[in-house]
Amino acid sequence: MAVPLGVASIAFGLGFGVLARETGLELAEALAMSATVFAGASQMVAMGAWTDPPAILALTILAVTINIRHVVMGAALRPWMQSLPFLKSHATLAVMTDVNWAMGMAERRKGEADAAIILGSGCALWVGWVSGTALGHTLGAAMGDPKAYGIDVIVPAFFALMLSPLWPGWRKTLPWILAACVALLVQRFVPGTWYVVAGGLAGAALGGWLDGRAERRHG
Amino acid sequence: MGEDLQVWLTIAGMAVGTLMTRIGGFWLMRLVPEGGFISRALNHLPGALVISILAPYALDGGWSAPVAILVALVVGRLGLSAIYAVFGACALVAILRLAV
Repeated sequence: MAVPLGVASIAFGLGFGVLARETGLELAEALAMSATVFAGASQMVAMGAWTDPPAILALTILAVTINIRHVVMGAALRPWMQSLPFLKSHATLAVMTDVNWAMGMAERRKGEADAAIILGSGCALWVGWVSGTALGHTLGAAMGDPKAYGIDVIVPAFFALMLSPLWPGWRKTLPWILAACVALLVQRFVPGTWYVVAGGLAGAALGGWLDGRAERRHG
Repeated sequence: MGEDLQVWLTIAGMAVGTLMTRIGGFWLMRLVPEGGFISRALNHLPGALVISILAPYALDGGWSAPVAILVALVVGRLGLSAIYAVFGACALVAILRLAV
């Protein structure tokens, strides 16, 4: 799975590279951003809000707002990360993206025990993202529209795949329904990815509460 | 301040800010005691997060994301590899876009 993910990541990187060039970033600047920020959506949005010269604080806050979902994703990794040595857990978190996080959680449910799956696929995604940025910036708009290849639906298709291993069963869908409703509601009114934070926490809290109630009843 | 410097400081700000979001959750969880409600809720967090990310895609008004989600779910159910599911979804959307 890591190789096709790397390829998909090149395709996304191409899109960012083209956009960064059109925005006026030098190749070195676009590459440095992809290598150190390594978060597609926030980089794309930053290009949309880029000014010449750029507003340092505003763009930093924008990036944090869009990437705020990472905080809860990282929290969900605690049971897995806390047994790892400092360097390994932090290297893993540094390359954590939506895609390899979801893949890691799904594999863990299926019985995979080695957290290296997140670090390994994260590195593959990073290499793809940075080389895609270089290609896109060099080739420019000659690439055409990535939407013509359906590249923009990779993320929803991939997340849909991750649903079945995480599926709690029909009798436990209530937390999922609450999560979806809260996410949709918050997304309409709050910028960034706070909707992921809100939906995830609401669903998790309801699930935890329901489980606790069931345990007290039976135990 | 030179304009070049300002570009590099912006990139640095975005990079540090984003890194903080990546390691922040792990560190926050260290402050929270283990066991009880938190552990039970953590079990439900991955699924709730995936559905929270997916729901707005499914209802964004266009047809392409719902089609891709459906293809991925069906191909995934058939037990085929994730590669077929994801790239099959992309290919179908690309073909449908040519037709529409």
